[in-house]
Amino acid sequence: MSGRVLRTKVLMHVLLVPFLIFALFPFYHMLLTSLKQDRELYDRHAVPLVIKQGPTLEHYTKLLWETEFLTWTKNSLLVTVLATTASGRASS
Amino acid sequence: MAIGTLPTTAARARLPWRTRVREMLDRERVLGPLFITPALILILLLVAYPFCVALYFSVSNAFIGRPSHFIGLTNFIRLWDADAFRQTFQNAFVFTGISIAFKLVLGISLALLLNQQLWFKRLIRGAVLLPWVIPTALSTLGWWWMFNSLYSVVNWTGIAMGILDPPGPNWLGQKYYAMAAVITVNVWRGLPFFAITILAGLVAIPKELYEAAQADGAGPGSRFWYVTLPMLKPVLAIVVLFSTIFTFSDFNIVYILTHGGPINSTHLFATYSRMIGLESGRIGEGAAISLYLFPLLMFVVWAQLRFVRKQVY
Repeated sequence: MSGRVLRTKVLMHVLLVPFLIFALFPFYHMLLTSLKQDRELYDRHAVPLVIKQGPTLEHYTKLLWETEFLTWTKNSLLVTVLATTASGRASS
Repeated sequence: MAIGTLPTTAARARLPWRTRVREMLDRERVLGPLFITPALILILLLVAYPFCVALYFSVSNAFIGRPSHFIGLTNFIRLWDADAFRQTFQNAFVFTGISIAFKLVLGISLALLLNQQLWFKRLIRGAVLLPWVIPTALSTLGWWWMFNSLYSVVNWTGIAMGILDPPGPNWLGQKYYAMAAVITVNVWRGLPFFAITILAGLVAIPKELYEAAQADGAGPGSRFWYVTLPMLKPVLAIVVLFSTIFTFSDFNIVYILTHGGPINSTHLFATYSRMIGLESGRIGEGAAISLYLFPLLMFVVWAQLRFVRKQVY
């Protein structure tokens, strides 16, 4: 009996796998893309599922130092805090 | 303050004004509207006013930077004759119908799975919820790269698994594939909402019902069909109602993935309205597009809310 219970439990997890892949793969792919070098990103013969030619933080440093990313982050936070406070006040 | 001991008019006149104000506030008829006023003003300013302006625009020939005139229902009639609008109209129904069907079936399955005894239950539930938490515009950009015509990871995987013939479809540049891509992203984004809400409905079903059904000899299939599904009906109705509204008015996904193309084949009301109203400047026509389905949607909402109320009470 316990063996059957275990088997159903494992089966449930196996059935969940496609859902989890569907939900999480885009995030995995975004992470990979953010860490790949341009050379590998635009290499049509590269395997897109892994980083083969070495990871890089190039895109992150570019975002932080060469764009107004910090300002945009500040803007987002400002809007979030103000909007949440305002609607919280209005509805409480 | 006791309500039974209201002073007489003469006595009240002698009371200091602060006491009188306090007495006024004690009355529900005064206090109730007073509490509602701020919210009412907000709604009037932020919802009612823009809505009325949109209503006016939809029956006018407003164009950016030009005075507008009332032209009746001309916008609506002219739109119906335009091929691009008919295409949009059809797209909206195809998009919403298929998306919701997938979200409903997958959502129920996922909720049933999440309701089981699982290892790492919280972790899995959190992971499933992720697509819903991330801003749509950003995650859609990720999908855009996944569907890119040259570097599509979807095509690469499909080819590697032998499902697709190389070079695989150009997801965002071919008519039906573009619609499939847009629907996929919408399902991806909306599934957590369905799953979690339905899960909440599942948890609320009393265990005794299942025990009673089992005692009567019901198998897993009929337990689902005769106990779970009927008990879930109100939750399902609410979820489908919300999702219909949000899917119909979806903007982010189509705007970022395909921009309505190829040849208007993925335009929805929101994106087409933006194109006509803001990019071409024909505000009147744009407003008419976004209000085209208002009567229909209102009827759907009314019918579903009625249904829900009947189910609950």
